[in-house]
Amino acid sequence: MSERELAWGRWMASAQAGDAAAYEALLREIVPALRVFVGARLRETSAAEDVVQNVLLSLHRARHTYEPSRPFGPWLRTIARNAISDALRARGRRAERETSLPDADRIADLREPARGDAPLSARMERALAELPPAQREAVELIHVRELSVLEAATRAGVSVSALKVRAHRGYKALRILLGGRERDV
Amino acid sequence: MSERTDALIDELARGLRPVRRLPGLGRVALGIAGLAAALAGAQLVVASFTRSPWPKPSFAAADAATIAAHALLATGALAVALGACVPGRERLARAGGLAVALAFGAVVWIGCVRFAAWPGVAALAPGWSRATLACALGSIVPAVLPVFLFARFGARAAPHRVSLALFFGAVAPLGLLTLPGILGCAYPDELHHVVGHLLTPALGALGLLLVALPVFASARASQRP
Repeated sequence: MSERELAWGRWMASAQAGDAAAYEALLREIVPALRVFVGARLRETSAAEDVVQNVLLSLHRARHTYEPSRPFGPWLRTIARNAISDALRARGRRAERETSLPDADRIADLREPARGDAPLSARMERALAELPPAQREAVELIHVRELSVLEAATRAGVSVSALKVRAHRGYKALRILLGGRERDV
Repeated sequence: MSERTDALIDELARGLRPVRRLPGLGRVALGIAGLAAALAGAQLVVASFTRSPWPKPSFAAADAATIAAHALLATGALAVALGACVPGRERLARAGGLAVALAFGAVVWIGCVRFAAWPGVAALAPGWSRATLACALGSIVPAVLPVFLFARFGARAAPHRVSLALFFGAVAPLGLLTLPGILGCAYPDELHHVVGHLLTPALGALGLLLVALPVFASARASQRP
C-alpha cells in the first residue's frame, strides 16, 4: 500500500468522525487520480467528468462502509468501477429511455424580450411563480443558477432522474403558461 | 479541477456529518450463520417430538458429503453476499463464488449421480408435489428471519448489485436450513429428494427475494433524510 493511500485512509477515518477539513482534503486529493482511472476506461472526456462527480457522490453515500483497518485504494477503486459500469449501462439505455432536454434552448430563448410585448423576463418570473414548488426549483437550479443536472439533483436532494422529470414537467408547464402550444413541447 | 467538481466537493464537505460505521463483516457473518444454525437446531428438536419414529440419518459417506456440500454452500453464499455489500471486498466475493460453484456441483452430483434421478414429468404428480412442497417450505419458512436481517444489513451497506447480494444472502441460511430435512426426511423418493431438498437453496432463494427486496427497499427509504 502506498504512503499516499495510507494518508487517504487516515483522512477517510477522520471524515467518518465528522472532520470536514480532512474530508475536503481527501476529495481534492483523489480527484486527479479518479480522472486518470475513469478516463482510461471511458473514452468520452465530457462524460468522464460526470462519472468522477458520481464517484464522489457514491463515496459520500458509502463512507460509513469504509473500514479503517483495511486499505483505502481497493475500496475507492470498487466505487469508481461501479460508477463506470453504471455510466456505460446508462449510455446504452439513454437513446431509447431518456428524454433529452430540447426545451431547455427554447426556455433560454424566452429570456430575450420580444418587440411590443412586456419584457419576457418579467413574464418568465410570473410563469415560474405559478409552477409547483418542486418543478420551479428544478427549472431555477438548471436555468437560473445554471447548475449541472447532477449538482442540481444534489442541491434538491433527489436523484438525477427525478430532477430531470421535474424539470421536463416544468418546461412543459412553462410553455403553456407563456402561450406556447403544448404539441410544440 | 472543473468548477462544478470543485463546487460539489465544497458542498459535500460542508454537509459532512459523523457516521456510524458498518459492523465488521465477521460479526455479521457470525450473526447470520449463528441464527440459521440455531433455527436448524430448533427444527431438529421440533421434528424429534412431532415425528414418530424420527428417521435417523445413517451418517454414511453420502450423508457426510451432503452435509459438507451444504455447509460449503452456506459459507460460500454468505461470503458472496457480504462481499457484494461492501466496496473493496471483491476477493471475498470471488472466493465465495468459487465455493458456491463447487458446492452446487457437489449437490447436483449427489442428487443426480448418487440417486440416478432427474426430475421429469413425474414431478407433476400431485401427491409427490405436495410432499415436496411441504419439505421445501419446511426449509424456506424458517429462513425468512435471517433473510430479513440480511436485507436490513444490505440496506445499510452499499451493494452495487442488490438482487445478487440478496439472492446469495438467502442461499446462505437455506444451505443450513435444508440439512435437517435432508437428514430426517421420511419420504423415500429420489426425485422428491432432489427437488424438495437438494435444489431448495437455489429455488427457495429466488422465492425469498420476494421478502428480501421489499424489506431492503423500505429500510433504504427510511434511511433517506
